[in-house]
Amino acid sequence: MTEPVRDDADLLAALRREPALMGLLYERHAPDVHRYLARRAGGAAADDLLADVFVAALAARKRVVPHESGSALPWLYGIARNILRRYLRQSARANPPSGPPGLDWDAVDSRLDAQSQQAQLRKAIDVLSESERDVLLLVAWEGLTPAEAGAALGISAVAARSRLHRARLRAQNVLADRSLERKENLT
Amino acid sequence: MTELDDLLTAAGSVGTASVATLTRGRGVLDDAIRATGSPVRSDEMDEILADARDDFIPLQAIRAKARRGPAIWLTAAAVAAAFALTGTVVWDGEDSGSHAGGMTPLTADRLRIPFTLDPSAGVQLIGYRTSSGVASAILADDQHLLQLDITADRFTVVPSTAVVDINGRPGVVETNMQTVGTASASASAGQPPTTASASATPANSSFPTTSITWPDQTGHKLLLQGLGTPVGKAYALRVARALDFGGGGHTLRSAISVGSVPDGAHLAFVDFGYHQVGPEPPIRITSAAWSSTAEYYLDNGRGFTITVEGADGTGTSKWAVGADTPDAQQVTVGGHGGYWSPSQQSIALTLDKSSNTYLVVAFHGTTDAGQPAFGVPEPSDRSGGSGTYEQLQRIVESVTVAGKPLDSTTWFDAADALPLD
Repeated sequence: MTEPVRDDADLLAALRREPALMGLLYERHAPDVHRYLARRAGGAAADDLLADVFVAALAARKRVVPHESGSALPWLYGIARNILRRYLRQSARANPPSGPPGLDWDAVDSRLDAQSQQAQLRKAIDVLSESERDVLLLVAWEGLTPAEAGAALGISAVAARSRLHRARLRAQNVLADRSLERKENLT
Repeated sequence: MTELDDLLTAAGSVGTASVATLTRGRGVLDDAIRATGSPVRSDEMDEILADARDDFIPLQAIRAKARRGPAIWLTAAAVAAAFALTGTVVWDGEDSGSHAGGMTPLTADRLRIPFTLDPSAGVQLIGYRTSSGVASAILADDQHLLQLDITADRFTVVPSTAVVDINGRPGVVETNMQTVGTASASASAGQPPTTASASATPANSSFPTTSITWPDQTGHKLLLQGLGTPVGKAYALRVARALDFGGGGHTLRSAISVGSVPDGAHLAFVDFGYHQVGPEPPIRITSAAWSSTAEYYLDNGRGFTITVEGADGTGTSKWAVGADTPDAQQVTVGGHGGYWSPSQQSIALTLDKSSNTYLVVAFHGTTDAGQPAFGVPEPSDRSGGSGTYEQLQRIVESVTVAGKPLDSTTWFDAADALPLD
């Protein structure tokens, strides 16, 4: 008889006593966490940082507060965010970033086809505060709900929704302005 | 979909982590998971070390911290087990005040540490390191250096007198400590602490004998130990060279031979030097009986009694080790009272055991430069407390055995065997 599959909430609740359960969470979520890291810091860095996230999560397992959705991902993304910020700070000291802090823009740019796309996205993201950018990307890239993104960022669901709304509005305004500029330049 | 969504989708398009990456990450995590069973987390050890850095570390301090969790409790158990080996563990509880033949099994309260170290033992945690899931704590008093290798389910005690590797500084830990014996005590992480009852037993009978064996194989033996500091080391080395025991080496280790103590042998332990803190006199004499199984101090009903009396009638101390002491020796030392200084009277040492007794003379004190051993501040008002080489030499030369002075000639001339009888 096979054992019943334990959901994230169950694993998180038992993690304090059974650290080995972190292995199950790894099996379940490592690909997502890796993508989170790769989107922001590039694949090579993500390869190195992946284990750091789970080791840090292991160390913090006694403090975990499962999100009401039951998913462990908001918690893991929150930890990944801290790991990533530390990595980016260290990287910035060695190699000053070419764009606004908080992302490895070279890694982001490499995934965009045209130079114009890169410039547009940078402009749009550049106007956002760090918290606005984080919530926007957690929803857009990681597929979290605003509430889950808020949990990852340690803010309330209401605040997350508000920041997401503001972020989208500001980014879209920038893009609209640039679009208008391009049309004017053509005429 | 808006232009923003299009851009974000394109920019967020990344591949999946390779199998190799996921496997590697899992391996790292698994190592970390295993390490969580290790009773010593580096942050906890940091705290302890910080506390210990400038002061001795009585086990009470560890005990207080132990209440936070079983991990550090295990550390304390390991410490207790280690010092059960060295006889410096005393009961902390109903039997407080007396040594007994072993350590009581810990009770159901897993966080309770029913042991305390006599603060005068001057136990220090001088360093730690972690490697491959093994946390090693290095503790020392002025007689012993112990390495506790602690993993998830057991700890191993490695007694060593290879103090040459301390570099004379606190917190500096070299990894090449000499292993002269090992002892293990079962202690399972997450298990009731009864499994950590510290049945610590040396794996061989050469318990800390980084020492010199007096060549007279029929009578008393003289073991010399350089303890704790370069001074003690240098002094023992000097004697070793005089006795031509592998002399000429540059370190104590290369100069000495490791003596093994035969069955039924008895030890009289004298250490010369200064205790940095605590009410104990600077001279302590202990004796121990052990068998080939080297059940040392533990549960064998063959404990011993040590009596140290101050010549001035004050400060009488008594260590009764083991309730049943058929082979006990009565070792009486006169001449201490408070902190003993080189200028004080001679020491009269009497051994009533007529044969097969080892007199272990240990030299320790402070560094040649007058710095205190293990970095413990030395009160400036303590006469002679700097414990220089010359001062220690004077201490040794002031010793009398059975009324006969042990002058330097006696010590350094092998032909003039130590007449303990």
